[in-house]
Amino acid sequence: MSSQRRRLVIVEGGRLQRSIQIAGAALLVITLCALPYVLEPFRLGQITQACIYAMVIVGLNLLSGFAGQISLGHAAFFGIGAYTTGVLITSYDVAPPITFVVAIAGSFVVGVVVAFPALRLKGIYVALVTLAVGLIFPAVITRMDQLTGGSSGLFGISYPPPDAAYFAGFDGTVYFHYWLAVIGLLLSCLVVRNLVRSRFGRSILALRDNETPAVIMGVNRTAARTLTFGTSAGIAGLAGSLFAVTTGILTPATFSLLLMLTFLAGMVIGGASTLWGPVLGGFVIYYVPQWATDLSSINGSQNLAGVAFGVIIIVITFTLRSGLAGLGRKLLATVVLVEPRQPRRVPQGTPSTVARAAGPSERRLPAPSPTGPANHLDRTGVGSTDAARNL
Amino acid sequence: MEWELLMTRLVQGIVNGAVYGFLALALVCTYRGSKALNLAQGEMAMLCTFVAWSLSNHGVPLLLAIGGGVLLGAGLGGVIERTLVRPFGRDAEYPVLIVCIGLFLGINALAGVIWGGDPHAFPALVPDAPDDYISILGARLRYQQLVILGALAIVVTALYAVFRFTRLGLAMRASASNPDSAVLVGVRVSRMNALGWVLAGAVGAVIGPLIAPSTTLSTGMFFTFIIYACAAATLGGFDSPIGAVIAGLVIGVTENLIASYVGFIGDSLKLAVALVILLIVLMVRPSGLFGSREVERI
Repeated sequence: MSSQRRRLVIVEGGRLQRSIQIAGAALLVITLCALPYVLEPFRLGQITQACIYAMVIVGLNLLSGFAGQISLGHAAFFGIGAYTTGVLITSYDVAPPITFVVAIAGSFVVGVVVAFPALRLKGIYVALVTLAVGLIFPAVITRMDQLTGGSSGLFGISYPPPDAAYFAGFDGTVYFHYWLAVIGLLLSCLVVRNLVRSRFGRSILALRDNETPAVIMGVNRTAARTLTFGTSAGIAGLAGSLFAVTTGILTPATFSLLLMLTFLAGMVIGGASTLWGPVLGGFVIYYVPQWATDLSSINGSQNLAGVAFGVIIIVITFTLRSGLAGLGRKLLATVVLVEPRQPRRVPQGTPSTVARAAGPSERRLPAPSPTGPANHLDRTGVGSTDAARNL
Repeated sequence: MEWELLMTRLVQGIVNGAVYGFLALALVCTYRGSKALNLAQGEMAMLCTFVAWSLSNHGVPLLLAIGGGVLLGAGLGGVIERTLVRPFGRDAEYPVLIVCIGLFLGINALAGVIWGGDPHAFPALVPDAPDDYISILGARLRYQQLVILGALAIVVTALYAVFRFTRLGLAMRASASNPDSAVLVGVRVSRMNALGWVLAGAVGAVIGPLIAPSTTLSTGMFFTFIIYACAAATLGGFDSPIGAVIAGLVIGVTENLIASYVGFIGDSLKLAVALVILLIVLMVRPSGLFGSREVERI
């Protein structure tokens, strides 16, 4: 057993963990600032697109990971954001930041509206509702061709960078897009992280893992479901806006069935119901097809990536429910042991069986599982309903 | 003239509906046993159609080649059920759906790797020249379309006969409606579920070569059909085979009539009509027209 080996013990919330977190954050900021100087603009543009994909998956993960409601419609929310920004900029000359807000609001509202039929439904029926919405979207865009350019596409969406020396010239535009995408991604990660760790997050986890008791315990199902849908769609919408301004061209064919399935694939590969997995997933679904094209010059080499995705998703569903993020955590667990936070000491004089049993000499209460995380309920992974049930 | 247009639209709708019904039937076959929505059903059918095409290119008679495709479809369905679906057990809709999405992406891309992304012409079973049609009240029904309708009728009749009159069919119905009790009386429930997948794979593989002459053979040929099939299966009720076929026909006719008589919809929003039907059904009556309502005991 790995518990026999000596592992670095980190107490959750302790000074060591804090300093590691701060060091990690500092490293992240330094890397993000250094990348524009290290990489050529072309590579930086790739990172920008990967970040945008990652944003969609971060949003998707809130709904399909943490809330356990599978969505096949996120390409539509992504597209709603993209087309809102695109149409507002090209036809009405609205300032781009305002269009972002409108795009988020628009996707949020559509998300909430979609949530209503999904409220009474479960499992594949929710998937069907979102699938329908996801597929109606490109058809409607094609039909409203006077506004959206129809199937030939919407051109000339641009967000001129602010007047600063850093953002000057062609490279400056690339830097600007890069920073937009990075900040957007960090913001969405932060929103999802805080939501999931709040009362709201616990209620959606409870609804996913065992709905009826959760409702009996006072979880407001309607509010939780609609808000999750809305927020998840809103994040995808913001990603869409950024997609519109960074690529400059939108066609309805982009927001296809294949794109939605690829987003889901990214979520599963990166790690459903994990905080950082979706970011990994976004980079995987962006970069793997690129590498596949680089690797071989045969016709349809893009397809090799598709085959790889298909196989990887199936393998992950079987063996590694929490994806790459879960794999990372497992590997880390062989060298580092994170101990749960110590409970606060019970104030003296309060009648508490726990305090009496522990006695005054023992300052620390025994941790729930000192030997390892065996009893720890794993709430990550695909369709975690049964992940929780199996334990 | 008006009359002729109506009849033409009607016939077109019925033929399209037959295709939707066919694929919906395959979805229902898998859903009844495994409670899984096999999104990869269309891709499996596409793969079988490609195999049939390759066989016929290598000199195998077309009918035999299609038979080969159907055998492959049946085998594929069985293998997928045994290796990728059954291990999750019952009540595992989410992981199974993810597996099906993996299959969708994987099979679609695999076909692209093997046969390339360009569409191919697929030979028709019956003469398919411009004037090979019979006239029904002014509408033209092409021989190939007649074959599709005939195939649907045969498959539905055969399935109905099996479900209704044989011991095997009884066992399949029992394991679909109450797996626990079925096991207790000696029905091999998991084998019945596998049989559902085998049937679904075969049914899908029948429809592929029949529509391929008109849609042309390509990796994306089933993208829209699978959506229509989902809509049809929902409207009919996910556990009712006959409902799936009827709903397929209803959706085919409705969307064609709406597309031709409602100016705003036109041909470009045809798919949206089917999807709106799907949404309405899910909001009003999630169990569909012919499906059994699921009651849960708490």
